[in-house]
Amino acid sequence: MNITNLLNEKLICLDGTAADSTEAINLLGTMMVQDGYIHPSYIGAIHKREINFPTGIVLASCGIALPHATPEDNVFKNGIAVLRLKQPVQFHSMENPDDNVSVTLLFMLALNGSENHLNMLQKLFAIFQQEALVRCIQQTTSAQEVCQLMLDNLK
Amino acid sequence: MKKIIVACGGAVATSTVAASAIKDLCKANQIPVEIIQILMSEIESNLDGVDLIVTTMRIKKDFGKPYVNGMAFLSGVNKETTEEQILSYLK
Repeated sequence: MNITNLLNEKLICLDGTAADSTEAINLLGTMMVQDGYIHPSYIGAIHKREINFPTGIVLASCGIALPHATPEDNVFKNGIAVLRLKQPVQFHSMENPDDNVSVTLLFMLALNGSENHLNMLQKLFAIFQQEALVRCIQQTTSAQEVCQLMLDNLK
Repeated sequence: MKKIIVACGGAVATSTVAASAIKDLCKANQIPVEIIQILMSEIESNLDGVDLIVTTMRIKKDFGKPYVNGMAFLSGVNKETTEEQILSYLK
């Protein structure tokens, strides 16, 4: 998998506002559509999947969500879009769909399945488990810094 | 040889992350394991000889086997408690 193309500054929004999880997912999806990563139908698939398999996760320092779906022919390039919200939105919890998670950081995953993808996924969760890295993503004002931090840790 | 089911809801396969962590944990504790990585919907038909079920999503159904929630392997929160829990079922 080409890690370098997974993220770029056009896929990162650090001062987003969304009324709810649906709007937040649409914001992320729009960035990915505009940069040629996905077909808009992938966004619809994500909304559908989120109902049955929600993706809110409580980390040590904040709540995150990882909206994604099973790619069909609607993912053109592997990518990750990042959205940081000024005000949290509610996602249902992956661990227990009956629970809500207040989410301020969202990572939309558009990844075609392969061995590489699984390896990358492990590294992504390793990032989430490092409080210092998550805090940096929460606090920085530089999209480029987020991009670099993620890419360095996904290699 | 202990047999562990590690399951998730599918798509990006979060169970891979949990399965890999459990494999390392068992290796470090010298417990030989066979890990069966499947979807939550496939648990029922794979229960034969299973010693433990770990899922990244809470299951409401009782499969009559020891169960541990593996979300800690994704979030890092309460990871040690989860590891101890898993080991207690395998020893």
